[in-house]
Amino acid sequence: MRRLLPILLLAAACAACVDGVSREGGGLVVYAASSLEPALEAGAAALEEAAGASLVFNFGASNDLLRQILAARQADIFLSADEIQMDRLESAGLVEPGTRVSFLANRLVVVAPAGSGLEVASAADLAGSAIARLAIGDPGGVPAGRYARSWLEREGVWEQVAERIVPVPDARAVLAAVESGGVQAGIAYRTDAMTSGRVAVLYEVPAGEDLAITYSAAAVAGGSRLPEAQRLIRFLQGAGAEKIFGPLGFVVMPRDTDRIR
Amino acid sequence: MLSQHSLQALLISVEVALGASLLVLPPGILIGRLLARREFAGKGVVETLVSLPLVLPASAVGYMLLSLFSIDGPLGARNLGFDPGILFTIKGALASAAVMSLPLVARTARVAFEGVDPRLEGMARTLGLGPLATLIRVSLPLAARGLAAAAIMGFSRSLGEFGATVIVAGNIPGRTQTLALAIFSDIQSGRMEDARGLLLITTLLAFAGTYITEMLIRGSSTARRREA
Amino acid sequence: MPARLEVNVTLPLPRFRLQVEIATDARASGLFGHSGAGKSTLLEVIAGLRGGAQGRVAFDGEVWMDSAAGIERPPEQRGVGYMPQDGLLFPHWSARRNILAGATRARADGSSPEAGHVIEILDLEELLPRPAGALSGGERQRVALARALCSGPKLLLLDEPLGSIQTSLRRRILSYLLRAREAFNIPAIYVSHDATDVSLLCDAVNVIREGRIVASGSPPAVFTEPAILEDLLDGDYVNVLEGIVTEASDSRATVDLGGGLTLTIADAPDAARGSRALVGVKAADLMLAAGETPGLSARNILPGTILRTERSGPRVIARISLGGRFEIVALVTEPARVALGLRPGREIQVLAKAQSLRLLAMR
Repeated sequence: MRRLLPILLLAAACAACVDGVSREGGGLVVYAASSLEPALEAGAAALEEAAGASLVFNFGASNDLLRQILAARQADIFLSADEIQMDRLESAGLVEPGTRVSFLANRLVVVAPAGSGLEVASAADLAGSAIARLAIGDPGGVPAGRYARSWLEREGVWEQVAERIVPVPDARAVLAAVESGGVQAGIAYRTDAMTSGRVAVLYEVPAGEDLAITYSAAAVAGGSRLPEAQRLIRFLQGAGAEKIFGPLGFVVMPRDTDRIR
Repeated sequence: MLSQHSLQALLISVEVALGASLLVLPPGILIGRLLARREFAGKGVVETLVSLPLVLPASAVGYMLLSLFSIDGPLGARNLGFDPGILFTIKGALASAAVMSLPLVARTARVAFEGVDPRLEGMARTLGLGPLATLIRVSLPLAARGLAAAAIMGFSRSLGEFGATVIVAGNIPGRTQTLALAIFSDIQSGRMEDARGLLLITTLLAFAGTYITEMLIRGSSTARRREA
Repeated sequence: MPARLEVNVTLPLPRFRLQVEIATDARASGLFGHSGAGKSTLLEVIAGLRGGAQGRVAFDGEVWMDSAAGIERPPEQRGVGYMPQDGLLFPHWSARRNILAGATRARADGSSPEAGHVIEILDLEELLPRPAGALSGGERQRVALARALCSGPKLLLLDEPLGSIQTSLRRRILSYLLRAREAFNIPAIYVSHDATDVSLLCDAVNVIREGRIVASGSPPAVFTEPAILEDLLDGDYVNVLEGIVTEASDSRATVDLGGGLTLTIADAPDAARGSRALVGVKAADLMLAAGETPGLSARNILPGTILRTERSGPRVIARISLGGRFEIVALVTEPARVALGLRPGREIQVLAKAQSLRLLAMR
């Protein structure tokens, strides 16, 4: 028992040191989709300066993050990979009025292992014999998966392609699956594809009205630092944001094309 | 009674859990015995390696396995000369479940062997039994209860395995979607009723596995007593 | 041709260094010493169950261990029949399966005792179907002995075979050991902390103290060496006399030692007329008389001749020839030695109470 006590004290002390992601800390708590992680980490300094506060990030799949916000109300800002999660947050009455914007656009791409020699010129090619397995994000859950399915349905090939689909948890897993060669092709975000040197982009899905992959930002209602949150969101739509997100393949949507709801 | 979706998930789970348990039991038992009986340089390293799947996040293990079996990987088609057919197939689900349950099986087996008086093994050796005969005729029977627990461990862990499986085998309904993966999908899509139904089936399956293993062990020890 | 055992090993132990050199072709060899002296460890080294020893172990021309040459034969190839202190039966097997555990090796050899014979000699027929856990201490010892015998052993290693069993049982076990020794004649090493047992069972004995052999030789010679005797005088029955039971009634027995010498034993409930008996008496329980001694309660009065006396601290050890047939040892005080004039050749009477004689074993 004597040896146990110091260890327990040490553990308690460590637990106390770790701030955790909570509003009680000194900064703005930002829940953001995983696909934004590289950009936000890289641009953290600029973002903090713009907001006038330190930032604490919590990355995850947008649907998981939504559940966490609903359960624990610890976030100041929510950056979602699609509009649907933000719609749900709004229905729950948790979006600070006037703060919701669509700030980034992404594209879906079809990727294959680098050097595979595969060619895809349209959705129909995915139903071809060269592709025995196609990895996409889980269509029931993650935005990336849902967008992929919507596109394939819109192109009328979903029925044919369905049995080759390999659903994996997220875009990262899609890339890993493609890199491994276990699948012949995958559908992921352009921004994700650009992070991997071992996959080649075969085809970029054209952006259309009904296939707008836009990222939504909003301040979560009840937060204590509304002015800072609003400053950050404004920054996300300006030239400063272009420098952070552009090189990674995102399209920054300027303020005047807001879809303010 | 059971929807086709549920039935598929059940059958796949049974195949994966049974297969993974059988696959992981021999190495788990041998590793457990090694760690229980021998001291050697690098024992700590072995212990740590065997514990890794327990310590690391399941998806991390999944990514490692994916790399391992990728076409250019150490166990990939290019190196082996043939396609082992692991990635995104039920074999992959089996492999993931086996790897994830290895630490628990090895650990439980180790404790089982530590409960066997090593002097009994020495005695068997003086009577002319070699190391293998000693293992089979003395150590294993005496460790049987604990090894049954190890098997149950392996089965249960394989039933619940998720994080590594989705990466290595994907969540393909009818092919690799086990009960655990199906429950996850249902929850993600908000189909709570379906999820609860699958949960019930999983629980029943877990009970069945445990019960059958207990019966087998009890049966064998009764038979032994009768014969003696 | 007697098989020769050569042991020359060194092994560091927690409290001392085991450093032993033994070379013997005795059929029954004893390893005698107090608990913790290293006896059991030495047996383990010979059996191949203890690693880390430096040196050489060879039996009947086969080298079992030679650290210089890098030879270490695994236990299963040494052909040793090991009976540890606690029997160590396999708990998951019946007595029968335990006994037959080493039978495969026995069959391969073809020269070893037959299982049925062993079971008969050791009276194990009734115990066979019982699970190991349902046997008493004495029964366990017998089964363990049978198991060792039935495994085709070239050399038996018995660690305290009479261990911690109570007296009446000891006699029985001892009888079984003697029976087995007679019937099977396999070279054996007996480890014991009891000099009497060693005297009864062994032709030769090595006395081990703190890991080293301090005396070697035949039991009578070794156990009457002053340094050894000192330790034994108070506890052990250093005097062992063999005779035939001529009368047994009322838990008393009369034993005829031959040459006109008889002993009366007070407490011998299981004595059987006509059987051979081994009777023990402690050195301190013998009284010496200079001449005839009428009117004494002692029932045993035997004629003897002083061979020599030795001082051992404050005591005097008198070695006596009993009727020219047995050599025994008695303990007296220095004043008594002087008063009785005990010197070599002196004729005296040796007295012992019937109570102080003990029937050690029957055959």
